[in-house]
Amino acid sequence: MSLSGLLRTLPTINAINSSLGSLSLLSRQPYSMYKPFVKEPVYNIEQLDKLIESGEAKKREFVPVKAARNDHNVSVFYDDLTSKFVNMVMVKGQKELARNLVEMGYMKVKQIQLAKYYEATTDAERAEIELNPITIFHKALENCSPVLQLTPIKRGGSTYQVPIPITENRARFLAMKWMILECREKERKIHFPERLAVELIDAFNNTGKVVKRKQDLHKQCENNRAYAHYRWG
Amino acid sequence: MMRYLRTCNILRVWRRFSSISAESVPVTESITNDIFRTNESNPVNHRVEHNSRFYSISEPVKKQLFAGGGLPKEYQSLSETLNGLCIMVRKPAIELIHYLNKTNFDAPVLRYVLYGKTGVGKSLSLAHVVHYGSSAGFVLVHVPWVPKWFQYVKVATPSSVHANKYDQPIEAVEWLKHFSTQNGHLLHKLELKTSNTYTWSKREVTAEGSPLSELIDLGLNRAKYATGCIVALLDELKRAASSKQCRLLVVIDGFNSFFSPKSNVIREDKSMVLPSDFLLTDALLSLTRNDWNNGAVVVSVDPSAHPPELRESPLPRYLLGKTGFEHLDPFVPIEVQNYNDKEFRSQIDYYIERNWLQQPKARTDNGQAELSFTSGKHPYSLMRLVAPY
Repeated sequence: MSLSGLLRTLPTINAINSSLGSLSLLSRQPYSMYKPFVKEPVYNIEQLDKLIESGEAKKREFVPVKAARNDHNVSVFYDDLTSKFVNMVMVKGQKELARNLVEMGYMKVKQIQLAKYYEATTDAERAEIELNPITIFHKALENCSPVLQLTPIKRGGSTYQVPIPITENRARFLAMKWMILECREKERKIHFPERLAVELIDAFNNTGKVVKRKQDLHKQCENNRAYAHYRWG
Repeated sequence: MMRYLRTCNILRVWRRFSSISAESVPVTESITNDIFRTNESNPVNHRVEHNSRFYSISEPVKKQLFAGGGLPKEYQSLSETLNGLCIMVRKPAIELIHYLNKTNFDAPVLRYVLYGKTGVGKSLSLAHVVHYGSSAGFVLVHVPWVPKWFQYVKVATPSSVHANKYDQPIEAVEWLKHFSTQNGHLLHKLELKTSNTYTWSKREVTAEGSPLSELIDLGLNRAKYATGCIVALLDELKRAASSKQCRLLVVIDGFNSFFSPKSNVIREDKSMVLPSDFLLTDALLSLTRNDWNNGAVVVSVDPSAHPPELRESPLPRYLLGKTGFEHLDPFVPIEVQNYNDKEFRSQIDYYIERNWLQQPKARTDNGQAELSFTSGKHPYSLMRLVAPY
């Protein structure tokens, strides 16, 4: 059994610690200004209804709750991952520009996929084409997320790149970061939204430069598996 | 899928400039499987029953009528993505079609002014009227977007025809091309002739009695005389309409730009050339005067056709100013409003059916309530909101 296969069976750090599961992505900030017992706010109306039904809401009545974030809302279209991605695209605090770029990217994704859809002749072909940009985005990120990462560890005067397990947060961060860096590459004649659309669709189909970068990292980890024990000295 | 049988056939009578109203033609069955669509693709037959339904315009018709402009850019690219141009039949267009059907063509021309906020659907209503005019046998004088002639002028030259006025050779050639595409077949059928001699230079003369297509060809080939050709052409058409040789429909989008205090053309002494100093302005203002008959003038005023500092109000009196209002007065004002509930539902259903609105949550009542609230049922805002989802 390969090293990455073994490491994949171990539970991730986030999975052990997360209290509300997929509700909040930032459940355990190490340097948070909040005490550990302060709860994350729940924005999603359906989840609120579920809490009220199950009786959980009663227990949370007098528990302090963290302050609301500016970009979090109860909109039907709100997506956690998209919000995180927009924050990472943002430069110099220009949130509106970042959001518009990502939204344009989603629109271009739809345009590209719809062109394929309306060209397809049979129902079977049409059923295979994914049109929802959010679904494509989620799958693309999944395909780009690495399972291991390399860390430099000094042993006997030389620094070795040692493969170590990766947290969910870090994997997601790397996927988004690589995606954004790839979209900012080269001559800039093709603008960010167009590049983002093409890269997302490629990553959704498990092809493209970002997936290649992840696979290169995995290959490096495989090559360096002899040094894996350096992790524990 | 249920199929509905036709209960009557349409008799297409070529109504050659008589006063028979088009409403005597029976309406085709307009029932379709989708509540938000109608099979009736001939705008001559559109009635109140077709309100808030989408009717489709075929590719050849779209190329003929709108190749030179007339559809808003974003709407056109969206229609290409959604695999077909469909326009919603709405109250302003139905009202205009009804009035145009009932017009007394012996009386002086009536001017209709569409007004409303930016992004509310005026240009598309005008596009619907253009399609109607083409189907009903009108000769179309269609200016797709007037500010393009004044805000983004490529070249402006002193006019060869009139001493103190300016030509726009490139824009004029473009418009002549658009006119000949829209009306080519009709002009050929009508065989209209010039009633004057036009001397362009020592060697170039358009003699009296020559066909109008010769005038258009001269303008297309010689950019220097293109603006003069347009002036002559519009003059001839006006005369032809009054003498019952043809029926004219003048459709102008962004009419208030003729009375705007700004253009992008600056003389050598740094003074600005006003829209009123251009020859084309004179030509079109002459055409929109009510001193001729056997036609109609449909015009729209839009805040976005004015410079940004002059967009306070969408109302005609403010946008046209004193001169513009006195020029058009009396006119029939037609307001274009935001979507009502039925139109809003229809628009959302159309987006869902065409696979544009993808999010499953948006199809629920909550989703639709949210879209209705955040867009305010404003057509353009809704289009932008729905785009990424």
